[in-house]
Amino acid sequence: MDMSQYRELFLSEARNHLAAFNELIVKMEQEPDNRDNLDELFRHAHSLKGMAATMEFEEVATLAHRLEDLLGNVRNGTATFSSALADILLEGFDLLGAMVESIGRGEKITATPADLLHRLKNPLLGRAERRHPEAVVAPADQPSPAPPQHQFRQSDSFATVRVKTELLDRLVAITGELLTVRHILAEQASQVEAPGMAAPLRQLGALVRDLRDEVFQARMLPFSFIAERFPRLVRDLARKQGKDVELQIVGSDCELDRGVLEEITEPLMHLLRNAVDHGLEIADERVAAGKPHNGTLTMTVRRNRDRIEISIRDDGRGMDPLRLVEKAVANGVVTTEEASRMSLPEIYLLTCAPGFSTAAVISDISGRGVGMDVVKTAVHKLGGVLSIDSRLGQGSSFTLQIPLTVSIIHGLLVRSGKITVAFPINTVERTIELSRYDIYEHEGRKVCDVDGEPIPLKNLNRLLGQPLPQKRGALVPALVVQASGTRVALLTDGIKGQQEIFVKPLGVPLSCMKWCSGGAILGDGSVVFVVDPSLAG
Amino acid sequence: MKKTVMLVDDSLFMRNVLRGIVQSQGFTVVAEAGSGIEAMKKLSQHRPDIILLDIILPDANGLDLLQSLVAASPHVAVVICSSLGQESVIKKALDGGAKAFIQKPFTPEKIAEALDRLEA
Repeated sequence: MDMSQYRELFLSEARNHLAAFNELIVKMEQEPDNRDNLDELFRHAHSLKGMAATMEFEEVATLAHRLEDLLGNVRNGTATFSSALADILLEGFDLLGAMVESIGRGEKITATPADLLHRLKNPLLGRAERRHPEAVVAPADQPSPAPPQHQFRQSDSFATVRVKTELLDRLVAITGELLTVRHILAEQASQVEAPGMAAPLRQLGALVRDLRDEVFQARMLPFSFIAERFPRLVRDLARKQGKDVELQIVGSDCELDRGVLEEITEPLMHLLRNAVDHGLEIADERVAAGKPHNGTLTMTVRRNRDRIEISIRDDGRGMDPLRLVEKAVANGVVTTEEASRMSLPEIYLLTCAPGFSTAAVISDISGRGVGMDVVKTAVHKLGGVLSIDSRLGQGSSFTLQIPLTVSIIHGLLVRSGKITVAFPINTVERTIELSRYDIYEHEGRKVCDVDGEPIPLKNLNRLLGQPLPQKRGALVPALVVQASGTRVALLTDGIKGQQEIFVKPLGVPLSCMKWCSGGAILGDGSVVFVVDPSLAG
Repeated sequence: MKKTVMLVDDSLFMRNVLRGIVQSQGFTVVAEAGSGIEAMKKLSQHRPDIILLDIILPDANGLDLLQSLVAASPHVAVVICSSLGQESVIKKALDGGAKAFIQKPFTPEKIAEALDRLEA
C-alpha cells in the first residue's frame, strides 16, 4: 500500500501532538499532581508512536515508544515526575520534533543518540544536560504548526477539507483586486449616463463585501495557535536563569488573521524574553522586596471592536523613568529640553528608540531596550500601536493594539501637497477643523486644544516632504492620531473621505519609506500610500 | 452486499489510513468518530455492521466503550485496533465482546484477514 498519500496528514497531526506535549509538560511542572495532564501526555506519546509505526518511520516510533514507556512508569508510580525528568522528556520531544521536520523536508532522519535512549530508560541516573537549548524557539522559517488539536479532533472528514495557506493568501489577493476593479467600475459609471448601472454596482459591492468577510473568516485562527509555544519558552528561560516564573495566558481563544498572527509571534516572544531576562527578579531579591518568590507573567488577549489588544504584564522590578531619561540623553536619543516635555508614556517608549540600548545600558536599566525598536517597528507595520506602562518596584506592562486583519482595510483618504495618502481608519481618533485662532504656542511648540487639552500640532505636508499650500482657507482640516503614546493633530490639505482599500506591500526602494506601510490603487487608477501614524511622533 | 463499517479513532491520520484499507477490501465506511461520545451517537444514526475501535481515546477507554457499543447494538461486530498488545488487554477485549484484536501497526493484510473472517 502506498503510504506517501498520508504523509502530509501525518506531519500536521504529529506537529499537533508535539505542540500539545510542550504545553502539557510545563503544566505538569506547575501542578505535578494533576493526573489528567499526565494521562494526556501519555496519550500524545502513544498516538505518535502508533502513527509513526504505521508510516514505517522506525526511528520516530522507537523514540516515541521510549517516551511513552517513561510516562507509563510515572503513571504506575515506578518513576516520579520532577523538573529533571521534564528536561529528559522535553529533550526527547525536541528530537522527535526535529525528526518530524526532517521528514517534512524529505531528509533522512538522524538516529536517536544512544545516551538519550539510555537516559529515557534510566531517568534517575543523572540530570540531563539539554542538548538543544535553541530548539525551544521555532525559527522563523520553520513551517508553522497545524491548528490546535481540538480543531481536527472535532472535525468530520466528510464535512471539512484542509487547504494550504497559500490558497487562502491568494483568495485574499483576488478579493482585494476585485474590490479595486469595483471601485474603477463605479468611477467609470459615474462619468457616463447609465442609470441601469446603479443597482448591479450596488449588488456587486455587497457581494464583494460578503466574499471578503468569508475569506477573512476562513483565515482566522485562535491566538492559542501561537500561544502554545510560550509556556515552554518562558519555562526554559526561567530555568536557565534560576528564576521561578509562572506564565498565565488569558483569552487565547480570541481569533486573528493568520498573517497578523505570523507577524506578531516574534515580537511577543521578544517581550516575554525581556520580561524573564530583565523584568523579573530572582527569588531572593523578590522575597527581600516582600513579593512572592515566584514571578508572574500575564499575557492577556482581548478583542476591542475591530482590534485585538495583547498585553504582557510582569510583577517584576519595573522601570525608573528618571533613569530612562538620563540614559536616553546620554546616548543622544533626545535632548534634555525634549525630554523635559515628555509625558510618562513617551518616556517609557524611549526604550524603543533605535540607539537607546547600548551594551552599557543593558545591565543598568534592565536591558529593556534590547531589540525593542524591532518590536515597535513590527507593530507599526501592522498598523498597530505599542504602549508601555510601568511602576517602579511593581512591574511593567507592554500593550499591543493590532487590527484583526491587515490587507483589506478602511482607509481615510487625505490630500497632502501633490499626493493622496490613506490613514487606516482605526488609527484616526477624529477629524477636526482648525482656524488660526485655535493654534497657539505652548511650552515652545505649536499646539491646539482638543477636549480642553493642548495637543502637539504638526503639518502632514512637512512630514511627507510635500510643498506647503500657498494659501489656506479660514478652516484647515486636521486629523487627531495616536503617535508614540500621545495624541497629535496633523494639518492636512483636505480630507477626501473613507474608502475600503486593498493594501499591498511595497517593493524596494519604496519600502524604504519608513512612514509608509503599503500602497493601494483607487477607482481612478491612482496610487495611494498607506501612512503609519507614528511618523507624527 | 458487503458489510458496512464505522471507524473509531481520535487520529484523523489513522482514520484515513484505515478508511483506505477498508475501502480497498470492498467495504463501505458509513461513519467515523474521534471520541467515545461521537461513536455512541453515530452508532445509533448509521447502524454499521462492523466497528474498528481504538483503545486510547480522549474521553473514554475503548474497552469500556466496547461494552457500551455492544450493549446498545448487540448485532455489531467490534474489532479492536490497538498498539497495546499485552495479553491481559487482549483477553479483556475478547471477554468484553470484541470479535477480533488487531495489533498496531496494522498492515492491509491483517485488516483484510480480520474483516474476511467476520464476513464468513
